[in-house]
Amino acid sequence: MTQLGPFLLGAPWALAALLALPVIWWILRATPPAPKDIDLPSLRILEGAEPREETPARTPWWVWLIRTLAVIAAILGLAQPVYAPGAKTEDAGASGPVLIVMDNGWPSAPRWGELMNAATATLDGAERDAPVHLLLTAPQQLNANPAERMSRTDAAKRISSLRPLAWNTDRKDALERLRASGLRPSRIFWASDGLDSGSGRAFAEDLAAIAPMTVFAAPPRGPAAITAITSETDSVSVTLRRADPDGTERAFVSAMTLDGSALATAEVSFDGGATEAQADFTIPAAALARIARFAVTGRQGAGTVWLWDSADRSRRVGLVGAGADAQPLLSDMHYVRKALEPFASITEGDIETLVAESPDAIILTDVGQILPEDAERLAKWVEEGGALIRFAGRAPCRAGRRFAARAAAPVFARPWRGARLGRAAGAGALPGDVALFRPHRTGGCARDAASACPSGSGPCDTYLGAPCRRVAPRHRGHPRHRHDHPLPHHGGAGLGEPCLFQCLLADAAPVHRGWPRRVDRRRRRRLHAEADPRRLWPPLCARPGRRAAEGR
Amino acid sequence: MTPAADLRAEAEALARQLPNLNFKAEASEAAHIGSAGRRRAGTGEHFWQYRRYAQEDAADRVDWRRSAKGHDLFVRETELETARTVLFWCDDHPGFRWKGDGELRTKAEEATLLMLALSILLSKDGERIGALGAGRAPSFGKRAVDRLAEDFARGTGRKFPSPPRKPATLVVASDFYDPIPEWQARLAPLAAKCAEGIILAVASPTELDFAFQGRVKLHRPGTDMSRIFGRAETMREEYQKRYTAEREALRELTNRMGWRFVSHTTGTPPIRSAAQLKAQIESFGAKA
Repeated sequence: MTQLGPFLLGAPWALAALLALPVIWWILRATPPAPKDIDLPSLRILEGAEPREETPARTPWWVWLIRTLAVIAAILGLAQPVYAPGAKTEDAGASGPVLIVMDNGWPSAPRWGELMNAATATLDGAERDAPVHLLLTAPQQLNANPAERMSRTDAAKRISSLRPLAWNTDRKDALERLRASGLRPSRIFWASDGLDSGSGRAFAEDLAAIAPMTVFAAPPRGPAAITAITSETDSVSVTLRRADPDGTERAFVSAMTLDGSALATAEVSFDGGATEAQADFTIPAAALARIARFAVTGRQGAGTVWLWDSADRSRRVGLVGAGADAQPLLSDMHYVRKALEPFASITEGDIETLVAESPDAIILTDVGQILPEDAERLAKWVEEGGALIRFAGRAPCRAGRRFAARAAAPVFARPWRGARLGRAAGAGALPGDVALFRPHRTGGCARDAASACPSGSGPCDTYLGAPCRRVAPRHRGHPRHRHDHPLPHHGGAGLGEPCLFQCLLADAAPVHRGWPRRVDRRRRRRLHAEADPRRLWPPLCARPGRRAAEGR
Repeated sequence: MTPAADLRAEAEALARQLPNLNFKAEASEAAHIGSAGRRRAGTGEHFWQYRRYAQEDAADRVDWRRSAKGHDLFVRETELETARTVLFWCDDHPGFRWKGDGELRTKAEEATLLMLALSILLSKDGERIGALGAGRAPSFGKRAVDRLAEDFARGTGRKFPSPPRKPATLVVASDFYDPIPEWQARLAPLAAKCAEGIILAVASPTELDFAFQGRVKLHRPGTDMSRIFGRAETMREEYQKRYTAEREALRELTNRMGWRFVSHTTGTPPIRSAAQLKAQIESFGAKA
């Protein structure tokens, strides 16, 4: 494109044909006008008559002028002029490779169509033969090499086949990949998701340093993500964030079950200038248990979905009452209730009632003597997947020897909120001191584990078992693994989460001396693999302590 | 183009303006027995004269009714009644059925008009008329004029007709723009058969004037002959010279055949040409 006044000339060299105008003019002048067609029957008379002067009449001047002007107009037309006042001509290097950078992380999902359109429009604007390169900012295992050359049509196909990913972009990594590829683009188009994410500005500057860059960066509309969730016994509040604080906005959050049906919908409204808003749900506890996720209605992408599971969920806990107490403030029940109240819905009753209700967990405070029928029921319930938590106070220790031979006695554990309850309960009600459990070598899973470890004076050693979320079927109900190892024992009923915490009495330990480490390791690996604090209970790991081994 | 009916009506009007045709009786050598009185004694229906009996007359020729009135014998004579045959031919070349810009009738129409007017006069006079080369025999009366008009409209398929089987008086109308030797070759058989004939040459003022200027492409209708003249005006003199020469040659050819020559220009009043045509056909009887 060459600029000539307010015109852009697509083929300026065509103007050189104007030099040939004098020749054309001469030829046009020399060409006689078209003869008039006349019928004359007596023409035969003139047969053989030669005209004396055959010099044709000259073209009239106005015919010549019109023809010359037509030639000039044709030449100007071939120069492809475009009337574009104030247009800037592009650099000569604009025909080089075009690099298209696309943010394909989760923030792009709601307006993925816009990004694709913008990228495709850039392709249309690019030179016909310019190679196109593609750089995707979200990290992926087999990410596209930006050095790969694509034709325009291939790139369009490729772009239309892309989908946004569920995780965030890593622009630094993308820049590294671009540098490593050694690509020298002459033009860059960045279809950004509109979120700075802490690296956007630097990324843009780095890209602009490589080549002239165009950015598509309209601020995203609507809520961008669910950032937090807090739950009470019968209420949940979901916190949403948005990127653009201007204007008011409304959105709806749905609480959905596993099969995708919405149990409740709450409205969120962002005030002008606010980037955060809350959606409050009031849902009965029984219904709350069925909720699997929260999602913003009508918004695509992973950002606006919150998977809701055991980490946030309030549980139904059954407390086995110890009957009337003269000093309620000193009773075990009181502290357990106090500790659990904000997080769980608590039912009190005797073992028979509680087992019939089948809560998420049954807690036995310092209960030593259990009726044989109740013990049967408890054992059955546990085998079917119930979680039984037992505090190992004096009473169990007294009764320990009697029970140890038959079945493991439940032990204290508090899976949700670390060692606080353990300490409190241990300080008041447990015979031994409470110490932090030595973190397991392999890290993660023992993070929150606490051990209520009786002192050496106690008649028994107490261990914490780690909850086992899922156990491979072959372990289920296997006689060898059923009662005779100290790790949490799955009930085998296939209910998923409930676990049994066992207490090993000192004289029960020999049974486990030969416990296979291989199994232990395998199971631990499984636990580690699933060690996501949002999806699992804080795992508690335990293994036979040194003292137990030495005690033999 | 003038419709045939209009042409016929105009021809009637034209014939009415002309005095009655007078083929001289004594000029009537034709062998046809017809209704046209030849104003002399001969074979016929109508009484002509009584004359005195001559010795050579047969006895049964005496008219006894007349002779009984006196002492002399009389013979009753009837008027000689014969019919002459006049055959017309009108050129149907596209160049003849052509008119210049702004002209009312084509040359062929003008020729037809003149010949129809003449044929009306002839039919009134009781002559046999017909179209040369039309394939039907000449006939008498008003119907003959109608047939003639039909035959003119049909034409002869752009062929020059062969001579009639019996001698007749011919009227040949064309523009005669083909070279004279060509016309001579065509007319010679006719002239050999028929001693009496009229050449009716019709021309258009456009052809006479050759008023073209500048670069023109001239085209002869009906042929693929065409010529381009860079400056037509320079050719006018040459054209007119040649045109005159052609006409002279044609006239000379006509004289040589013993025929008569009548020329007509379209656009001029047809009465003059019609009168001329009548005079020329009457002149065939004007033997001294």
